[in-house]
Order: sequence, then structure tokens, then C-alpha cells
Amino acid sequence: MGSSRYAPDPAMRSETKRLIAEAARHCQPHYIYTIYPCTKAGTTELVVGEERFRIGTILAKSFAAATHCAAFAATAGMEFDCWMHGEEVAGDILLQFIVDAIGSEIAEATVRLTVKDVAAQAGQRQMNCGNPYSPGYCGWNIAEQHRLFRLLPSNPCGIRLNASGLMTPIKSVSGIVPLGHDVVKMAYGCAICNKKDCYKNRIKD
Amino acid sequence: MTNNEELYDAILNGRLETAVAVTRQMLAAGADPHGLIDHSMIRAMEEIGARFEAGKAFVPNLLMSARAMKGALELLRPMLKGGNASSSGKVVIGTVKGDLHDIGKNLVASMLEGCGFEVVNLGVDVSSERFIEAARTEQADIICMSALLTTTMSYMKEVVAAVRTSGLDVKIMVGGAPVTEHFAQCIGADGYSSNANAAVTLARRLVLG
Ligand code: B12
Repeated sequence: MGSSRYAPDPAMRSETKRLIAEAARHCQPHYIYTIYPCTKAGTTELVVGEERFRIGTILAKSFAAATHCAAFAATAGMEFDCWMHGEEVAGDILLQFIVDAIGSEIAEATVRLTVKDVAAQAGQRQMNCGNPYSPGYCGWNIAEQHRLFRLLPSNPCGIRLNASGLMTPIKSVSGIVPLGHDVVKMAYGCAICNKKDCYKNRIKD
Repeated sequence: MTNNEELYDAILNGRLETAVAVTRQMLAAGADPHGLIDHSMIRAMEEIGARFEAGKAFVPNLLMSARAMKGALELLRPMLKGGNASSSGKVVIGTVKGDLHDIGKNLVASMLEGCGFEVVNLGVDVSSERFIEAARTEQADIICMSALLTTTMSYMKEVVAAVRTSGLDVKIMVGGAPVTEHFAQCIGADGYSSNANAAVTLARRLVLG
């Protein structure tokens, strides 16, 4: 919760445990994905179905061997947002902070499940599966959220996108996963990118 | 341990019930509310802030202290009204238009409140008109803006421009995951900080001018 060096005291530990148990009653994790053939265009672009994405040079390398990709959206669900902003939690800043962190973990865990499912599907078609990548990361502009959402049914898993590319429920993640016979899963991420404005690199500093 | 020390200790260690109970006890014994704030409470918040900066305390510790401080302050507030108590300053805070992420903004609001600022929390999706109107009616010293995404962060520039045009005498602080010091300077904000603790130090500096 903010630092790997943080050692919660027993009270904090039991409060977090209680909230995790309660979170299970409020979250309805969902994911959806669609597999498309894809082709690269130059060193920075990826064409998926009818959509052309400017994923940038860093991500283009991760899609070099991709013949297909899965466009996905995953969410902890609207009910979780309501709980997070409801009376019990919103009135207490510490609860808010813990519940917010739990929500982020649920969203990320849902992405892991998505990728596992995608990998199983791809495996049946003799394709390997890479890491998931999201608009807003590694030089891929977040404005391309709108294009990505056109590859999914409208309001996928109840997720709505606003003009800024922000998703509601807030604990949601979108992205694409490279697939192909020669795709290799790389150790995730930061090794491939040195973007100064990315938070992971800020932490490295 | 004296009552003052006990109150200091309760806030430093984030024990809400103890902080409230000791404050109640001290008030019943005739303690001066201003003395409590200055000698125990603010000192405790300063100490937890210093520990945070030194990497010896973490966000949950800060929040527990701020929560204990807020609980104790609530008991004192009715006695401070109309007296010569002046808060550290008044802040209007919100997440900018198009953005709904609020935990970062709420942490900043809580820490400011815990450190003696009056805070008017406008919530999320706040337009420049609402920031300006609230700053004017509340006679705020500072407008604080938060954002999660690079797309929504750009709206901060519009707010800064509108505030300057309005002629309001108010400082502007910005923050949020994608915001940097450089961005803050480019849009003409008065300050940026990367976390809620540093936001308090910055706000104090801006209020002092
Ligand atoms: C956890 C997280 C998530 C979680 C939860 C998100 C949420 N909003 O709840 C999940 C996994 C769901 C997620 C999803 C996404 N994320 Co995300 N996420 C993060 C992460 C790692 C932490 C954010 C967080 O909640 N921090 C904890 C809170 C308490 O911190 P905070 O809000 O930053 O506030 C603190 C400071 O910023 C400061 N502060 C805040 N406001 C203010 C105001 C003032 C005046 C001051 C002085 C200070 C201040 O003080 C606060 C307390 O210390 C950040 C990277 C990072 N480390 O910051 C990326 C980050 C915010 N995400 C990012 C992106 C792109 C996304 C997605 C768009 C990816 C995608 N395509 O799916 C989605 C968007 C979600 C949506 N609903 O639309 C980018 C945004 C930048 C950009 N490119 O626009 C970031 C910065 C990562 C990066 N690439 O560098 N994300």
C-alpha cells in the first residue's frame, strides 16, 4: 500500500483482511475479448481489423511476431465503484485508501485471468500469447482508447468510455495482447521502455 | 505522561479514539483549544510528516494521524468559531472536468485538513467555472486540482488561464499521477507536489506568499 517497506500493524492487518472479505461481496469482475488478425504498418503502427493504432516504437517491437491480437476490457464492476463511494467507505479516508488499493488489485487480477483465457484460446490455434499492453502506457497515446473500444461490443462488461478516454467503472483496464506462432512472452515491461514520464521509471529514479 | 504528551502520542500513532477521549478530557479540565492545537496536535502532524519524508512512515500512517487529528479538531471547532483562531488557510480542491479519479485528491484534502487548513472538496469532474465560483464565494487562498490521465490533465491549463483572467487573487496547486513539476510550470500553476504530505508543505509556503 504505497511502499514495499510498509509493515502494517495488527490492527491495520485485520482491517485490511476484513475489507478484502467484504470486497468479495461487492466486486463482479468481468472481462471480454475479441481476437483479430493484425498486421504491422511501418515501425510504429498496428492495424487490427478496421482500426489503425499508433502504438509507438516500443510496443511495435512486442508485436513484431504477432499475426493476431486480442482486444480486451476487464473490470472489477460497477458495484465495486458504488461501494467505494458509498457511505461506509467514503466517510473514512483510511478505508477509502485501502478499498481503492483492493479495487486496483482486483482489476489487475481480472486482466491476468483475461490473458490466461486468451492464451488457452490461442493455444488451440497453435499460437503463443504475449503480455497485455494498454493505451496510456509505453508511448501508446490514451486517446486511442476510442479506437480500441470500437473493436469490442458497445459498453463491454458495462464499461463506458468518456471523451477523455476514461473508463467507468474506474477500476477497469483495456488493452491488446499479441498472439502468434512466433510470439514469445517477454519478462514484463519496464525493461523494454525508458519513458521518463512513466511512473515505473519515476520509481526507478 | 502528561495529557499534552498523550494527545501528541495519540495523533502521531493514529489512534482516533484515544485522541478524541484525551481532547475531551483536557477541554473538560479547562484547557485552551488553541494551546491544544499548537502544542500537541500540529506538532504531532509535523512529526508524522517528517517521518514520512524520511521513509520511516507510510501513507496509511499519515492517514491514520490525519484521521485522529480531524476527530480531535471536530471537538475543538465549535470553540474556535468567532475566536481569534485563524486556520492555516482555505483550500478549494477538485478533480478536473472529464476525470473521475478521486483517491489522490481525497488524500491531499485529508492531509491539508489534518494540518489545519479549511478544505472545500468539490468532488470530481469539476469545471473551471465551478473552481472559480467556489474560490470566490469561499474566499479561498488556494485552488487545488487533481487528474489521473494525460488527457484530463490538459484541462488544468484551461482552469489556470480562466482563473488568471478572472482576476481572483488565489494560488493554484496541481497534482496527480501524470502531472510533473515541468507541466505545472508550463501551464503557469503556482506549485506541484507528488504526494499528499509534500502538498501540505507547499500549501503552507504558498499561503505565506
Ligand atoms: C493503480 C493504477 C491503476 C488502477 C486503478 C486506477 C484508478 N483510477 O483507480 C487500474 C489498474 C484500474 C488502472 C487503470 C488504468 N490506468 Co492506471 N495507474 C495506476 C497507478 C499505478 C497508481 C494510481 C493510483 O491510484 N495511485 C494512488 C493514489 C493515491 O495516488 P494519486 O492519485 O497519484 O495521488 C497522489 C499524488 O499524485 C498526489 N496528488 C494527487 N492529486 C493531487 C492534487 C494536488 C493539488 C497535489 C499537490 C497533489 C496531488 O498526492 C496523492 C497522494 O499521495 C498509476 C501510476 C502511478 N504510480 O501513479 C497508473 C496510471 C495512473 N494509469 C495510467 C493509465 C494509462 C491507465 C489506463 C488508461 C490503462 C488502460 N488503458 O486500461 C486505465 C484507466 C482506468 C480508467 N478507469 O479509465 C497512467 C496515466 C497516464 C496517462 N498515460 O494518461 C498512469 C500514470 C501509469 C503510467 N502510464 O505512467 N490504473
